[in-house]
Amino acid sequence: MLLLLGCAPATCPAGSSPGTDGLCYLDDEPEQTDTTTIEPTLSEAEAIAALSATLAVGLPEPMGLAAQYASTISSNGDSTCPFVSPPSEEGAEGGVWAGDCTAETGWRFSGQSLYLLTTLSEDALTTQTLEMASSFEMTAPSGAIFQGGGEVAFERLTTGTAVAYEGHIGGLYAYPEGSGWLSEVSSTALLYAGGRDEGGAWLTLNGGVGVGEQIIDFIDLSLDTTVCDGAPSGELGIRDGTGLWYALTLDCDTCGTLSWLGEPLGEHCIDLTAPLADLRDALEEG
Amino acid sequence: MIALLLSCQGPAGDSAVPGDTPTTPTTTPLPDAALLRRMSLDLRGTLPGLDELESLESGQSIASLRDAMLTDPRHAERLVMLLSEQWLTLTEEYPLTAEMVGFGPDEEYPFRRAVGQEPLRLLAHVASSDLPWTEAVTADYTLADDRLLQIWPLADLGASPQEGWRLARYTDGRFSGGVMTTNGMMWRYNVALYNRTRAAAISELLLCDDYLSRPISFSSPTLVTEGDLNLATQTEQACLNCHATLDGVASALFGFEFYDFYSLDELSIYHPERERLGEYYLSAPPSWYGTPLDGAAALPAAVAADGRLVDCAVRRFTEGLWRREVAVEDFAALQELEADFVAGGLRVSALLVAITDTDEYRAGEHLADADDISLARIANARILSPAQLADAVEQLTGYRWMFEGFDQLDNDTWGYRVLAGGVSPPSVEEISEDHTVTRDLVIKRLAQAAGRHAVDSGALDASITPDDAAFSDALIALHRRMLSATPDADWLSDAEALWRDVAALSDAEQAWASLVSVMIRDPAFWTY
Repeated sequence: MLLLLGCAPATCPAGSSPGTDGLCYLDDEPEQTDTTTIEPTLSEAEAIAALSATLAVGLPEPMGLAAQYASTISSNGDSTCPFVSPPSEEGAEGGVWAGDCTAETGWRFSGQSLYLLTTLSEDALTTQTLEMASSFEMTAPSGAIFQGGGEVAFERLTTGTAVAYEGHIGGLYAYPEGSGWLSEVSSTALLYAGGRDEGGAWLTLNGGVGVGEQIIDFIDLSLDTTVCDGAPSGELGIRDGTGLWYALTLDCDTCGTLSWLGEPLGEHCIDLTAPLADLRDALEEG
Repeated sequence: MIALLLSCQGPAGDSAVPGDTPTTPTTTPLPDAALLRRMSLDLRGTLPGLDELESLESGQSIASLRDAMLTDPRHAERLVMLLSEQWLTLTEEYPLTAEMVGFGPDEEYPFRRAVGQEPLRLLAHVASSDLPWTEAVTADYTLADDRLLQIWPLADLGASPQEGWRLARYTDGRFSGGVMTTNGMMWRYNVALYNRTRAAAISELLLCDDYLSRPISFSSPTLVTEGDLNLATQTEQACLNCHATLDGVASALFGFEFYDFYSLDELSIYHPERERLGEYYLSAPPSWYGTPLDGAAALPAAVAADGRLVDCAVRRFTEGLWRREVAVEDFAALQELEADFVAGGLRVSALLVAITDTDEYRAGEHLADADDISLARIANARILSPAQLADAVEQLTGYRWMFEGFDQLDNDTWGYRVLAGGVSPPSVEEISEDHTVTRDLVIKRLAQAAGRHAVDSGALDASITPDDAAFSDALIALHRRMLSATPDADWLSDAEALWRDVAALSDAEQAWASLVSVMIRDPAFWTY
């Protein structure tokens, strides 16, 4: 601990000593950070198996969520419940609603939500943007609840066969009666950037997903057919019961080194083909 | 690092050097009865009982009476309010209202206070249960009332260390970080900025390292986009002064990042899948002042091992009981207090004993030859905080000033907390140690209502008149209860005259009500 004095002191107080710079330093310097060794609760094999199982559920993506949201309202709401104020923007659909009501279908809508899906075309370029900021519950007569709370932003530019997109989905979105990830994912924060043209396709993922007790994440995980022939690079993580993370580092390969607290363990492989192909399809075309 | 900046100008700066604490007393010691009153108000928030006053007068040591105060259940309650002046969690502004989380509108005040008190209750529990202070940042539990148990992901652990509050544990996978990982803290310090506000709050509150006090000087670079800002925080020297360390701590808090300000789940549930997003948003992996962390879960151990945690606890509790900010001149005194704190196993009770043993805490009258610095620094008479005032008046008269379910001395939506000299976070962050017109008006209204309530409720026997032999004894008892001192003949004469004047205009009940009201308004009551 350094005592900064406007004027250099002639002497230092008890418990401190002068440094070579003329300033006083406390004798009891802070201790170093405790780096206690913690043993993981999952074995290497269990960690990889849990990672694969979580990926198999599918990864959250904005357009599928938007489709579920829009169809739930259009199929189960009525003209006043929820009362949706339509957007004034050109090419936009959706709108804003807030309240707590029960529609003629028996569905109950509560909360508030802004949902705008805008499609604009100019010459050969089509720009599609999705914006959602919501906190809602839509309850079916059966008692099943479609719950959403969070933020979604997504933009996709399409021209001919080329597409580029960027966006994120963050929040708690769940619908047990839905399909794919929406029926099982508990919480998410995923950021996407990618595209496709005649040269190939690329996708970069950051963020994480929770499915029940399993938590996985991605740090700059990319699949780029123009660089690695589509093999993944980056890091996949799975959170251990200790609250610390296993990390599987990939470098243009489906196999890589699994590490724990920075210490390399063994080589492990993981198949990302199916889950990421579905995600890429949704982001490019959904 | 605690940086103590001294000015080279002014009478103190010319000669002051850390440790240069005056050795010559500048105040008389407070008489024992007055010291008992000060300790009781500071450690329990209430006036000493007549039985305690009599025990003191019979020869019981003030130290033993103080020991009893430290085990009194009201001690924890007092710590909650004392700490609230520094932690500033009892705010009027939360993202969600009681109605938004499913409670009735009449539950707004208790809901708000439950949220704001959660971190304070945990700190008070650690302190009053004689647990080492490091537990405050490593505990794998919190305290929650019935409302919080209902809306937050908490498991009731069964024990109830404080009235209406139970030990509970979060069940959402958050790491065990004591007060740092309470929802109350996260809701209070919820401004976005990628958790930097939260990291700065942890630094200031637990380490006394205030990032906002650091000097910043730079020519304005172009900061148009978020990317520009992030680049600046990683490359501009002036920005790095804070962000080189702040961002690593903020990065460890990304599990608390939320995407929707109005969703109870988003705000209440820890999001482990977001834990490592700090590396994306801040380009900074979790670290503690430059030392890399093995993830967010390693944060509590790093904080607990940081020597500044102990330094800061000493400083904060000392400031709370000395009723002033400490300065570089107090260095030696703080070192002595810290030695007692460490020798006491980092138990707060040991620290409070040491602080209440200091000459400054026990300061009575200023000596005639006291210099200006001592006169300015040492508070020989402290003003009751709104919380102390409310508790003392309730203890005396049974009156609690409530309106629409809100405690009028503990809120600023409907009440007068800030007008009475209290904090009102986030806009007013320091208590007022000066008497003000607004404080006087609040005390006036409180005194009027409390005096009447004391009579109407029977807390005060209004049937006694000056014609009764018991009248004088009743006056003396009232004076001793309120001021911990036996009145002299002049005061008794004046009080009886006041009583008779009011009774002549009204009746005996109003006479007693007015007398109590006048005594509450007497500076001798609301100072200590």
